[in-house]
Amino acid sequence: MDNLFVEKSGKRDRIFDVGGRQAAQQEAFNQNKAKALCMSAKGMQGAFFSFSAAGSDCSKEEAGMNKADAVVIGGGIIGCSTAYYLARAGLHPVLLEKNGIGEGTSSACDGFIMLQTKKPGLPLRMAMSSAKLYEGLTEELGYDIQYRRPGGLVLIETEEMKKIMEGVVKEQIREGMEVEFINNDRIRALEPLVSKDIPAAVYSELDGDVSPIYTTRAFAKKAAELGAEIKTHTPVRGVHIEDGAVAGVLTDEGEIRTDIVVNAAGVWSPMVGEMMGTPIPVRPRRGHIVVSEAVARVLQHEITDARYIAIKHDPSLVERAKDPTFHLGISLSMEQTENGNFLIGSAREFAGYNTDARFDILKGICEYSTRFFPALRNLNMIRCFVGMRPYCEDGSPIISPISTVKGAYIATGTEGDGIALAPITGRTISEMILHRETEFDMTPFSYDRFLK
Amino acid sequence: MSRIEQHPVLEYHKGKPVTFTFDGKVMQGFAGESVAAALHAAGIRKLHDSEVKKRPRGLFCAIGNCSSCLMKVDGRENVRICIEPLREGMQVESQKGKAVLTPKASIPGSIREEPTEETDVLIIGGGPAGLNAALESAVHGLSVIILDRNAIPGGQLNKQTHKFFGSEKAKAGTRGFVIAEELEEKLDACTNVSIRKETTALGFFKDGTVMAESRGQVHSYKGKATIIATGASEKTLIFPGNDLPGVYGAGAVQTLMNLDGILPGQTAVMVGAGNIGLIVSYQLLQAGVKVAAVVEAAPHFGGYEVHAAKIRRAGVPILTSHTVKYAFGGEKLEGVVITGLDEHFRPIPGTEQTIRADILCMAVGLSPMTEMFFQAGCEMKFIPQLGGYVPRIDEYHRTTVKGLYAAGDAGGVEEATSAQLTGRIAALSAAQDLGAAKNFDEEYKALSAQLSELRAGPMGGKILSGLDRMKEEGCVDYAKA
Repeated sequence: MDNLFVEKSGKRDRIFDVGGRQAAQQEAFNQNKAKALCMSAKGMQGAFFSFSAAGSDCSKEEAGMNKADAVVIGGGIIGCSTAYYLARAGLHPVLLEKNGIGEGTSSACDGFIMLQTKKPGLPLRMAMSSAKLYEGLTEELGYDIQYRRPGGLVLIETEEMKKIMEGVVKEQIREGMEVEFINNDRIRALEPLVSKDIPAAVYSELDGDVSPIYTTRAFAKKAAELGAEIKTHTPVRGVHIEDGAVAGVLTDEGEIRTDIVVNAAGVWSPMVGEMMGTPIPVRPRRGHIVVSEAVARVLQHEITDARYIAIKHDPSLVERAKDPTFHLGISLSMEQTENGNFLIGSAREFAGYNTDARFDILKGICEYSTRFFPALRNLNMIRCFVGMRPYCEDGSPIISPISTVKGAYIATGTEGDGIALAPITGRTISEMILHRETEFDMTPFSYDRFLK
Repeated sequence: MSRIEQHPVLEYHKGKPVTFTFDGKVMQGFAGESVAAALHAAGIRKLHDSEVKKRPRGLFCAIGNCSSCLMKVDGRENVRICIEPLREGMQVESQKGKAVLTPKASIPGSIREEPTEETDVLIIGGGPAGLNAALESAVHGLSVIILDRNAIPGGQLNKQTHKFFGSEKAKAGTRGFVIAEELEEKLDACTNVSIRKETTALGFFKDGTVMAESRGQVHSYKGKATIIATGASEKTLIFPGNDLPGVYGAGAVQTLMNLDGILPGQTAVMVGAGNIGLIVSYQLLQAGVKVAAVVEAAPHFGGYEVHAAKIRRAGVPILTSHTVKYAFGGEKLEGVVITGLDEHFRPIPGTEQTIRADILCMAVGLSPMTEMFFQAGCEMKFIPQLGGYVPRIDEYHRTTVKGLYAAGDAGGVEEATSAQLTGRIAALSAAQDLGAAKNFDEEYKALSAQLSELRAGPMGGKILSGLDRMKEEGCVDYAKA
């Protein structure tokens, strides 16, 4: 029992580790042993966002209960949603988060639940299903997640963009989505602050928004109420694999035995993948968002522009662009929060894990947004933030079992669609784990597509 | 009228009389004074309603930090009237609820493509630390740009009407505002120093670029070395009624009386018997305000004996082991209930006293303004003796980010004389690192000797223990936390 992790496995080489910190971990593990061995998923139910300092008198039998039905790695919106749907199905998952709940990507983004921006096909179908789930979530989770469905506009500035949007809209209609082109008069009837120089927009009444921070917390809180254990500030140090199957997850407090691991670590999922010998082709794509002072509600809809969608469909447009803001990867995404602040984005760029704001991009976002909304010049900008989105190398999410390791699952790569897709992603992963039929054929988002 | 007609120390240099309207009523004031000052002179204390609970709010910080004074000025909403200069014909209105975005763009054109201005030394903040840093840099032949958000540089020196202590070299015996005037004169004579007034630094980017805003326009600056001398902001205490108009930070009371020549009210209760609390109490007396009591939670007052003696002679009681239980009033402060505290700082039942007052002045310490250090990625430490989070600095005032230096209260709350010295030390180190210092060792020794002398005084113990903690490992370390 003293050397549960080394003796039982006898295969340290199979415990993939980052940073060569085994010695330190072993020491921390030994120090925390008493505490760690007393942890039980069940005993933690009352402790939300914390782990209990269990008594030192627990017996070896209890120590053996340091097990979980599943371990979800990552406390962002995807991980918390997954933990919630697993707990709702009666499982006792443990969620491990290296920082606090929703402190990474899920609190450095806007709250769009936009359907129009989704690629036709599985992403759009999943987004439509997810939007339906969102409608009931405030009640289901017992937490006001500030869900609204005011409708959304994709503003079109140029002829070139209009042509791209015509193609996109045609496919969206084929998928059964209600979208329509509207002219400047109708745009300004919906949003009086839009410039007279914007000739057209695509409108959908299905687009909505939500507070991503509240939603992430709400999923975690409800999951905990239903029997999940949420462990914050608990980095994963290794994943224990025995005979090609998941056997446990190593933390500084010891090993949690489990047959199921969900890698929901978002932009950090490649690090978790490395621990399991399952490479994850995801890298961070940065976005800047500028935040204005709070003013009375004046913007009704979710706003993006055609460039946002065009870049998504054809990233090479950015390299070819002559407009300096386009060249910086800037497109428009804008909402006004419940409190009245405008969140104005965004730029897309690859810069590793660097989240330092860039002056040229902030200026570019302000400049670009005033082309569509000249009145924004009257507004003071009070801060900005930079978030990293999990970009998958082929532009599509990975929501799938990992076929090379039994019991391993992956849910990430949603890039800017993570908030919109969170409920359906969590539910789909839970269905996969429970061997239930998923709502959609998930083949296009399978991990196996990268093994070929 | 609550304008001070005669003051034993100060003369007020007012701009020309102007007429403005407040909620449609015609009023008089002086050009260049803050809108808040002009309204105070007309007896208007309630400036704003809180957005959620609609509680009345008045002037608190008077330096553009706290946003409790937002009003609509000439159609623009969310204007901080404590730092908005009054002009002829201005239309000032109370702001009801959240600001409304005006559909018509009032600021013409788009963001100007303006190159980043470069300089040897960029100084953020034109108070005692910043101005001294500028002089020191100029002496070494370096070009300097100072960014200051106020119309008049000098920072808190401008409201200091008392004579400074310390060594003569550090301007002991001279009143603060005179020091500011002398510094400005000297800087005016330096051709390589440029002061950008009404320019608020907003962001520090990792490449060293500083973004700033001036009259609605964005500018950017970059120094080979950057000295952050942003000062500190007022702390307050938590008690019911602490947001009533009439509850002021000590700095705001000083601004009103000493800069604007306006009485903040008739009767004051001072909270805090450190140097600021004692000095401002005396300044209130000088301006003709009754000081009912100085309340101090600690069993002993914290400031210099000489300041305490001055107000005691004037008959002001210093109530140690006392604190504010609550403040009361309708649209503005009407009185304060204070209570005695036991040795564990717990209120003693039955010791409550009610004091009728229209000023409750909070002198309960300052927090360093550290936003720029955080943005720059400096390693930060939480050191209560220095006011809270401060950048980790070495004895030469270098932060952990190359080319970035801390000076004055921004690097740890102390007082104006030490701010002047740390400003010079930071600039000297920057000059050394830029290869421009000739007698670095000698000059550094002289400056640090002055600083040591100052800290050897009765107030120095707290600072020294704070600086000791700076060197300790195991302090809360933000960058690693």
